Amino acid sequence: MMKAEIENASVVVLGSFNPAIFQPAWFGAQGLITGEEVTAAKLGMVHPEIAIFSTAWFSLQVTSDRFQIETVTPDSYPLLRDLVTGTFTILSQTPVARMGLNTRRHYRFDAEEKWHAVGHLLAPKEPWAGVLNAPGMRALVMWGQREGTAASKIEVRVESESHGRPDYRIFVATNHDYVLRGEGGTLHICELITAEWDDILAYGRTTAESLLRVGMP
Amino acid sequence: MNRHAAASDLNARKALRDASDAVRKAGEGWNAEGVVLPFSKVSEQKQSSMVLGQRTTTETAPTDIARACGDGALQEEQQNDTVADTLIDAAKIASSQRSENLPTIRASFDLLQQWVCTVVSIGDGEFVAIARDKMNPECPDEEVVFDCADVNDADSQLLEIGAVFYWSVGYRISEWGQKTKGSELRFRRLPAWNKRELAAAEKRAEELGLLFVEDGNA
Repeated sequence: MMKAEIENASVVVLGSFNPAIFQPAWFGAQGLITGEEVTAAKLGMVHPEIAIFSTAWFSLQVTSDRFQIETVTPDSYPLLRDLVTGTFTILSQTPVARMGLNTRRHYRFDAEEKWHAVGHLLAPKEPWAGVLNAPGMRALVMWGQREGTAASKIEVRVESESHGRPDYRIFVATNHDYVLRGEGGTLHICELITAEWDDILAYGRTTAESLLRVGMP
Repeated sequence: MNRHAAASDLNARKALRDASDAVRKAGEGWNAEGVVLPFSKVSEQKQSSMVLGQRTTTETAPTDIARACGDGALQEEQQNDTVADTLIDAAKIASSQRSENLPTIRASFDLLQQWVCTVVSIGDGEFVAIARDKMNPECPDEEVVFDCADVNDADSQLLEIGAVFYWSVGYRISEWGQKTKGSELRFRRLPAWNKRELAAAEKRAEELGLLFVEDGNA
């Protein structure tokens, strides 16, 4: 099975935040990250309107209405879940409305034919006859539901990238969209992410492998 | 503050406010029509795509020449000609600034195996944990002995019976591409209980304890 060249996972929460809180020192003071991580954190910006910083294993961006945290190191996926759970356990009075749990996997194909095979499978060219010459799939977005998740909507996005031979890539992103409870929304975040995080990571992997199977060795 | 300085300060504050606004809009992303929507509108618009999807700072820029898979010809993506061009420009600038501002994580970890472990006993210089295979959950749990020296200094205070940690084995790839095979223990960090929560738990325990009392006698 082909291995993802790059993969990451992220959590996005929409609500009402005070970005100025979200500083490495605050996370350190709460015991959510280590003192070394606080010291080594790279500050992008901390301002009443926006906070951006990263550590060796996660990066965080918070605006007044959006909280986004991501990691690109798969060994840190459970740590990311714990960090989000810890953060919203402490900030239990924060008004929150929706949450997205996301995965993203980039694959590189060694042969152009395999890369095209994926495009042909997911976006057959027959309907495009007479509409476009040499039609090709650039991006495809599907959405729906599935069993075993509380997500109100699941979106799968497949995009092709190529910057010239032999660099043929496709990335597959999944997004589970949750509507949070009006009261106790932060507790709802903790419940959902605790219950579904592992499944969502597995879903991101199996979805990519399923959709790209014709191009895989 | 003289009048000139006050005007400069006002301009600076306005510029900062505009920049923050642009960054916020960049973070909100594009709806299906390629128009940046404020959060209120985004949340109203049920058809909006990937509102909660992750946006990265490394995505291909819209003006990059991209090739489509499935025999598509070379094409240059056209920018949407919408009334929101000004907003789009502002968001792109903000987004590119964000790319520069946000330090990217260059090092990566090629994960081969990962276990979730629970400490069951601590001895002289070593400790025992029950390891559950996270990547192959059907595998039976195993008892593993770890050297206390394997625990990071920052995590050593978390080492106690019942503590949960993640044991990862894989290749750590430095930002210069150097691969090093190794294993790493990372302890779970959750917020400590505060006094109010402890008091509430004690009260609840007392309430539950009364259920086991018959006629006032335990």
